[in-house]
Order: sequence, then structure tokens, then C-alpha cells
Amino acid sequence: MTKLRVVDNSDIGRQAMAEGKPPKCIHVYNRTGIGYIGDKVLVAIKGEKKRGILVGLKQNQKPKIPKFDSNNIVLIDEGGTPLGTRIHVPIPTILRTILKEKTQSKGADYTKLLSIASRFV
Amino acid sequence: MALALNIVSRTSHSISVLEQQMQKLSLVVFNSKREKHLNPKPRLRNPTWLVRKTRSHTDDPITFENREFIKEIVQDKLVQSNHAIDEIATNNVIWTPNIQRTGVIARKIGVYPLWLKNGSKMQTTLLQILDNHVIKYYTPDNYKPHKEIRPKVYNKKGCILLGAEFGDPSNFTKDYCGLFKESGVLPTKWLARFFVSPEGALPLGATISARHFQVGNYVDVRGKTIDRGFQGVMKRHGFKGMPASHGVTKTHRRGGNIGGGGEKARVWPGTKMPGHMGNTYRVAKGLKVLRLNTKYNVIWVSGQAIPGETNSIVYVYDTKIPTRTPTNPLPLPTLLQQTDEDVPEDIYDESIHIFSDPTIIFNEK
Amino acid sequence: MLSIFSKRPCIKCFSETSKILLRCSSQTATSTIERNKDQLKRQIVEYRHVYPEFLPDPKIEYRNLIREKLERADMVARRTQVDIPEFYVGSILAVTSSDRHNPEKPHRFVGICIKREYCGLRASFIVRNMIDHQGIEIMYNMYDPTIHKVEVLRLEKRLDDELLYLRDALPEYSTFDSNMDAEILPEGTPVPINPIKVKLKPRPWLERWERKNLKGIEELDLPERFFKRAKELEKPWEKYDLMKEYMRTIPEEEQIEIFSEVQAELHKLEVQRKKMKRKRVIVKPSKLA
Repeated sequence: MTKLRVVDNSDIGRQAMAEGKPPKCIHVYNRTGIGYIGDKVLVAIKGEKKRGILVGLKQNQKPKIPKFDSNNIVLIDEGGTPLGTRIHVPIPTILRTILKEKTQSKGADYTKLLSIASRFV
Repeated sequence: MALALNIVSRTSHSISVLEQQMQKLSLVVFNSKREKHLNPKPRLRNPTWLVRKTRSHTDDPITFENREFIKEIVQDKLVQSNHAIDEIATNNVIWTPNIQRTGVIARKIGVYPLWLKNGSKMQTTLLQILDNHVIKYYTPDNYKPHKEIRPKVYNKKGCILLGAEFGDPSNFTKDYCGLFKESGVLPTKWLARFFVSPEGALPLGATISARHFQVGNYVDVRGKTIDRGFQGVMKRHGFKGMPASHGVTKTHRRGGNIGGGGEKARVWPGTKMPGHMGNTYRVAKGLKVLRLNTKYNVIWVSGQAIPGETNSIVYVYDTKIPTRTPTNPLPLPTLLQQTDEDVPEDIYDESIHIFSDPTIIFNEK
Repeated sequence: MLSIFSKRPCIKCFSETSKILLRCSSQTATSTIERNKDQLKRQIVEYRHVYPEFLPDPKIEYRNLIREKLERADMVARRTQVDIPEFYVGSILAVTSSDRHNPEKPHRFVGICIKREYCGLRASFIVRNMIDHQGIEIMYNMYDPTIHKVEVLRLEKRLDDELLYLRDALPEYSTFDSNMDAEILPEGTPVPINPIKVKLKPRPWLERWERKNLKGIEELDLPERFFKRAKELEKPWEKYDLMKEYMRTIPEEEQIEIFSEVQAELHKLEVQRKKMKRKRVIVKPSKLA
């Protein structure tokens, strides 16, 4: 039940952050159940269930990969399209590789997230 | 009946006879070897080189002149040993995967990272190949293993005894020094045996350098793991232990149950329990040779989990993993040292980024 | 046998020069030798702060002289390709590195160095900055061959050896402009120490900073029991423990041996860097004009 920070400008995310009720992680879509950078998570936000992609983590990272002061997510829908139109914090460049690998033909396209990023670190 | 008759006669002579008979009877009953093996195990024989090594020190009443004389002799022998056989008789056999070459004695000298050309970091272990000298060669027929092996053996191997690092002969026993008589090498601190094909045999006194191995090939490394003493189940086998609180008393780091009841009410062999950890030989297999230093005779092998602590002795030989045997022929029996040859100080694998090369730039293709 | 250790080449060369000088005049010669030796010693005292990663791990079970020698040779070889200048914890750095995930252009990150650790080729440092009100830290390996350039934008020290408490400090203390210009110190000045006191956010924190005996933070607004407990856990006797000090450090004689081995190369690189600096100084006014 980690408290996350929504970093895009989607309505629901902005409202949740403004009210001081940040989303909580209720599931990680991988085998280990431990979320790493680029993993998809299920979050509880304002009484709803939404999906998000982890775009910045507080845990220690490998050399040259940024470590953030908060656990950031970008909300997405079923098809991988982000709910917002802009990400207002930097996101790591390694996401380009990770999200490209995770995107399969006919599946969800996560690379749309990269196009709305404002800055990369 | 006989017993009753004897009692009746009551003569001293008859009593003694009786005693003798009783004794015989008891021998028959109690001295039978009930657990006699029909097929006894072979007796384990120590190899011929396993003799007592170090001598107990006593203050010998040796004069100063004699002491100097001994030093001189040792020095002479040292020079001889270093200028041992330079030319190795090559029988012009080209290496094939079923020919086994000799291994070497090395010292693990530390771990540090190297970077690959694709920018990723790789931990490598440095192994310093010591000054290996051939001390004995046992031909396939000559070598007697310490355990009887099955009668039919194809492709039988000989055995090479190698010694490394010269020691002070006065510290070793007479028996130990006797091992080196044949080869004329000064007694060494470390001994190791390696099985070789008859084609891979080396003459006595020959030396082996780091260029016995080639970059890009794979090796196995055998070493003695760090001695950790008597350890509990959490450290030795990685058990989870038990909770620190919630009513747990005195069982925070214990293993818990070790067996069931009912039919199998016993502890099964091989159950993981506390005990002595480490100080056993382990082999790290299939390690890639990434770099060679010809000046200090050092090889860099991939990985950081090579058994043994830093500055401990390890044994390095060509890998036995069939999928990683080299495709190009290896120098057989070992690389010939040519004095006029111009050898670079460092030899690198293709994948390794050399530190004196310019910075890596990724170009989009 | 292998000639493994070339012992103190520099000192040897001093002794050779001394022989020549002795013929000329004994008095002046001895004075010059002493001066040279003093100079080397002074330089080495400086070197151990400028290049701390050249000193090996003092743990005796990890040490091997040949490994250290090979490692040092590799470090110097890398330094000939990339200019890694003198910097300390508290200095502001700009690190440019090529990125596999974004091959078009090298990535530049500006921030304050909050930690330096490990020795040899595994030496690393952490750079921290606030970008778009988001705290970001990146750890770099110092001898990573993908690093193009390490620029020191502001050379200074702080009051503490580690600035990890900046993670719990107010954001303005770790915010730096990414287009910052390098501040040039006049030559020969000692490295300035920034006596700034950082204000921490209210608890909860990542660590119990009141127990760390930090000098670079403002007075903490905590209940009395926190300080009481910190006082209990203090170990003031440790600074008098000579054995601990000995096990933790490399003795001076050994330091001289280590640095005299790489001194010639490092000195050459330093001279080269100074030349480049002068060139840059000349270029700058033309840019402004």
C-alpha cells in the first residue's frame, strides 16, 4: 500500500494530489510483486481503480540511473494511453528502452507516455 | 550328557578338560564376525606426493660458515630452477577437444570491474599465475589412483605434478624435499596434480606462464572456500529464521522442524542443519578469460564469486563444460617461450573496453 | 623471478641527483635534497585529499600489492582520456555522459556532490539536484568509460563529510541552475569551506540526523528525549582509539610509496589541465562580446 505521486496533469490525478489523498498501490503487474522502474501498477485513487506506470523510484538505483525523492506514476488506461497530456517532472531515459520492450504488437502501447514527457534525465 | 558325566566323575583332570572345552565353545559363539563384508571397499592409498611437509624447528648448532654455505647452495639451485628447460619438445600434435592440457597453480589477488565496449560494467577476478614447475609426470599406466577405478577405462590420462613458489628448503622435511630430486627444482610451497592426455605431457622442470591460456576462452577455477567455522542454519543455508516477537521465545535463528513423525520417524540424511561452513573445495566453472597481463602473469576472469579469500591459492584449468570448449586449437602442451618475441604487456578480449581508449559514444544506427 | 615492486622510484632518483650534486658542493646539495623531499611530502599530503581513490582499502584481508599496482595503472590510463578534476563533497559538478537509451546526444547533469565512496576503479560519487521541484540523485562510477566530462562549476567544501541530510532538507538547499557558469578561483588559493547551515524539514526523516553529530545543519526543533538518547549513544572515546585509527587508514610511508609511483603521470595531467584552463579564460570574453 505504498503512497505514490501522480506526476501527470490528468484531472483525477491532480485532484487527488491537491486533496492530499495520494493514490495507493494495490497490485504490481509482475511476478515478484516488487515494483521496479517501468512496471505497471494498479492503484486506488479517489475510490476508483486505475492503472499507472512507475516513472521514478525512491529506491537505490544502478549507476547512471536517477533516483527520485518520491515514487512517481503516470496514470494510463487499458490501451496504454496516458490520461493526462503532460508530465511535469523529468523521467528517466531508461524508460525509452524498458517501455519499448514491454510494448508488444496488438498489446497495449506504452510508448505514448514518452511523447508527453517534458524532460528526460 | 557329557557335562553330567564329568560332574559325576569329579576328578581334577576331568575339570581342566571341561574348562578347555568350555573355552572353545565360548570362542565359537562370541568371536564370529557377524558384520564381515563379503565385498570389501578398496583401501584408500595416499598419493605418493602426500608426505609430511614442514619440519619442526629446532635451534641447530650450525656454524656461521655452514649457514652461509647452505645459503649459497640454495641460491645456486634457485638460479638452476629459474633457467630450467626453455625448449619444450613439441610432438607436432594439434590440439583437439578430446586432448586435455595441464592446469596451473594460481593465486587469487582481488576483484575489480572492467567495462565492456557496450558500456556495461563487469566484475572480474584477478588470478596471478605463479611460477609453475613440472615436478613429476606419471604416464597413464604408471599412475595409480587412490581409489580403484572400474576396470575398463578409455582414453586414459596421465598425471602431472606441478609445484609453485619456491620455499626455504630448511623448513621442509627430508621426504618432501625428496620429491623434487628428480626434476632438480628447488622445493616449492605448493603442489598440485593435473590429469593430462599423453600428448599434453611436459618435461620435468618446464615452466608454465599466463599465456598458457588465451583471452576469450573459458576456464574452471578450483579453490578452498573461506572457513567460517561452525555456523547456524541461517548463515549456512540461508534459512529465514523465525519472528523476533509475537511470543517467540528462544527460537529466533533456529531451523525449526527437521523431520516428520509416523512412518518416517527419523531425520533424513542430508537434512540441512547447523554445522561447519566453508573450508571445502569448490569449483567455479565456465569463467571467461577477459584480459592477460604478461608482465605480472595475471589473468582476469569473469565473475567475483571465485572460491577462497584474496591471496589464497587456486587451481585453474581449461573448462570441462562441453558447450564452452574452444574452437581454435590451443597451444599444446603449453606455449613456447621465445625470447626474441615481442609480446604486448596487456592482451584484451574483443568485448573489453581498454582504459586508454577514448570515451565510448553510442551512435544511433 | 619477477621484479614485482619497484620501490620508491622518485626517492631513488633524488638520491641519484644528490650524488651528482655532492661533487659540486656538499652544503647546497643537502639543502636542495631536503627541500625536494619536503616538496614531495607536501604534494603527497595534498594528493591524498585530491585523489583519495588512489589509496587502497586499508582492510588487510583485501590487500594485494600487484592488484593495487595494476588497478592504479588502469586508473591513470583512464585519466589520460577524461579530465577528472579535483572536487570534494559539497562541490557543484556537471557530469556529461553518453547514454545508451538516448544515443543522439550526451546527457548533462548538474548538481551538488553529496557523497564520495570506495577506492580504486570502483570509486563512485553521487550528484543531487532539484529539477522541476523534484529531487533527483544520480550515482556515477568515476572511471566509467561512458563519462565524457566532469566539470567543477563551484569548487568548495562543506562542514560535513557526507551531505545525505540534503534529502531531508528544504528544497532550496539542493536546487542549482543547470545553466550555471563555472566559477573560477584564482590560482593558489586554498579550497574554500562553505559554512552554510542547512534547515531540515520536520520529521519523519530518512535517518536520525540528531545522532550523527552533524555540523552543517541548523539547530533541530526536537523534544528533549531525542537529544538525551543521542547523548547516550555517543561514542566520544573513539577519536582517541589509536588502534582503530590505524586500521582505518593507510600509513604515511605507504602513501608516499603509492603516490610517488603515479606522481609523474598525475603531475603531467595537472599541467595539461592548467593549460586548457588558461585557454578557456582567454576564449570567454570573446563569447560575451
